[in-house]
Amino acid sequence: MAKLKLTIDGQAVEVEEGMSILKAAALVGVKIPTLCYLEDINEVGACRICVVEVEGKEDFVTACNTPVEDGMVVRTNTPALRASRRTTLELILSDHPMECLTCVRNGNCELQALAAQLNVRAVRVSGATHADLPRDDSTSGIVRDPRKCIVCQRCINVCANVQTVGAIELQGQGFEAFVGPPANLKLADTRCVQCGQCALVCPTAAIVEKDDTDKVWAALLDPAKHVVVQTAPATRVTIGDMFGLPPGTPVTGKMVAALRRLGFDAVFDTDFAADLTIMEEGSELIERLTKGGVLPQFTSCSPGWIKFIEHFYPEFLPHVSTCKSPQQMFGAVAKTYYAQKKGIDPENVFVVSIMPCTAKKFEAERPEMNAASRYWNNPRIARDVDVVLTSRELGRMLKQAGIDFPNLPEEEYDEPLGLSTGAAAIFGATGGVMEAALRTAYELVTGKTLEQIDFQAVRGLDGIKEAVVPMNGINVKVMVGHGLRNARQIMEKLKAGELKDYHFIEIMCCPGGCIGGGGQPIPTDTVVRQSRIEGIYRVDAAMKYRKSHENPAIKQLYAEFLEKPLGHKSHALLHTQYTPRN
Amino acid sequence: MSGGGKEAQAAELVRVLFDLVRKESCGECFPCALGTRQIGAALDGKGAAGALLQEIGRAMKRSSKCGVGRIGGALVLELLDRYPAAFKTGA
Repeated sequence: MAKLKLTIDGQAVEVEEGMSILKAAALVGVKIPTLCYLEDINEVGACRICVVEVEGKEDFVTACNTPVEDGMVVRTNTPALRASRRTTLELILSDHPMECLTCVRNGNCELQALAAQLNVRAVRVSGATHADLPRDDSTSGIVRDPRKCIVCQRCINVCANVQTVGAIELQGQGFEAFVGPPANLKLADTRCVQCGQCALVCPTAAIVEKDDTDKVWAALLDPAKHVVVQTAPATRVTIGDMFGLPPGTPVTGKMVAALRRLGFDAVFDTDFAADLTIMEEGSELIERLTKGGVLPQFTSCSPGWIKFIEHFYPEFLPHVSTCKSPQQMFGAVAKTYYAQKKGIDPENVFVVSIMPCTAKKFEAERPEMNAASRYWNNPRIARDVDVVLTSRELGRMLKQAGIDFPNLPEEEYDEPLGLSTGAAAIFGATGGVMEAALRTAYELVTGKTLEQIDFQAVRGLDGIKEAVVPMNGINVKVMVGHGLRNARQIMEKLKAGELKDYHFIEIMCCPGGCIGGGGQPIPTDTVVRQSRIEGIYRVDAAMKYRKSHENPAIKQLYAEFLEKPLGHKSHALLHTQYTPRN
Repeated sequence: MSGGGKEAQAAELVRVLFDLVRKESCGECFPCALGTRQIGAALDGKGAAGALLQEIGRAMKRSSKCGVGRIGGALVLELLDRYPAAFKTGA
């Protein structure tokens, strides 16, 4: 690529052809203000905040999506630019509910930050607003408040291009333009998978997670309830973000201490259930391989992915593992095995999940997720998982409770449902379920000890990854995809008959896997995702056990209760069926 | 075009042209989508006036994504320059 020379605010800079003015300016220490811009996802130039002057052009150009030209002379901080940016921002603010003090994004809002950055001290503009647009809380996972929407289009583009779902669009035109599902549908009536990637990229609070913290506070206060909590693999490297720790810092022990201080009766780990998932899903794979079942087998941990395939590729549901996700396996085990073991009435066991995910709220509410109720034949046991909190909601509860998270001591999970392995921890990153499954499947199939347990080929942020693992004469072919655009690509290959010789495919709904989930702390971008992935593998490397089948608590669970993988109780409690939604 | 002074005639002409801008504004870029609301109100004698109106016109003219917003902004600036009373009176 050719190098181009240009001048930005009097500073000479030489950059690659094709680079935006915004990125070129960053190289010489100029941070041009932006609002709608989101690297690689939204470079539409809608907000006109990043406008700059280019010598020889009468109109301003947007720095985010204008490529540099050789000899360009750019000015980013003139009185005319400052005035234009401020006027544009005032226009935006004139149509924004000034509810900052009571807004869930107070202190973490890009519109708020920009108003501070541009030194806006008054909004002189007034007039018609979008204040009458109705709130949409029709889904289990996310809530839309179009009053707070600035129509930046990030959500539209993440939904359409990163996830290929396209549930929301730009509606209307001119000042009447707004973002929402077509034909004024409620989000619940669209093919929205509730992944929450829109909430993750929303600069304001126009799309947020449904807040269920009050339900947890109430349960914690109820003396009749035995309130247990489970923490998803990915949360142990993200909760620290909300307390100023560097992204990706492992905070497992601090999170356990924090949850205990909130008042949970037992602090358990979804990682325990992730190990259980590997036992069941690995056994299912071996059964499909040896008994001529439907292959390739697809993973089923990610509820956004499950809803996606139910909507878009229902004819391929027999490929999906019948295993419930770790969250739901945990709920079912907590209200059967654990309740029985502890001598607690299962009606009084209240299960709270801490999840990186908004779709997990939807998953917990799926009608079939009441295995404990069926097991005990007791309709008063409603759900296997009672409340799902996202990482962000937990962060808010901890702040409200005055817990000084960074300075907490490290504490251990409670037994038995708190014991886990490194294989379970890596469920939080793309490729992790595959790697965990391979670590166990290899040893179960070959009877040999796996020495090289790090499967580098399935790690990292490449969209689609592949590996071949020889096991007893079979070359097991695996594939890993994350983000629904990649999932769709894989499904199209499957449809075209190109995946006939593959055995096992992992799909995670969100880019990067659960560490990049829609319920994770904001911001979550590519750099943050990378740091969290590194954190997850550090957690794995430091664990005593690193293969799911070596987890002593899992062995005990099978010995005392389940008997064997894919057994009668497993089928009743740990496996599920899917709903075509075409 | 109806009777009245030059300012009223100019304001009416601008209103007609501005209605076109408003109909063409797609809603994607902020200065145009939000600015047209303000200018429209100002032409009806409501909302922004004077220096603020000029700032909005300038933002539309120079920062809008396409010709629609730029022309809308230019119209406002022209009118303010030549017949500033058009806005004040509500014409």
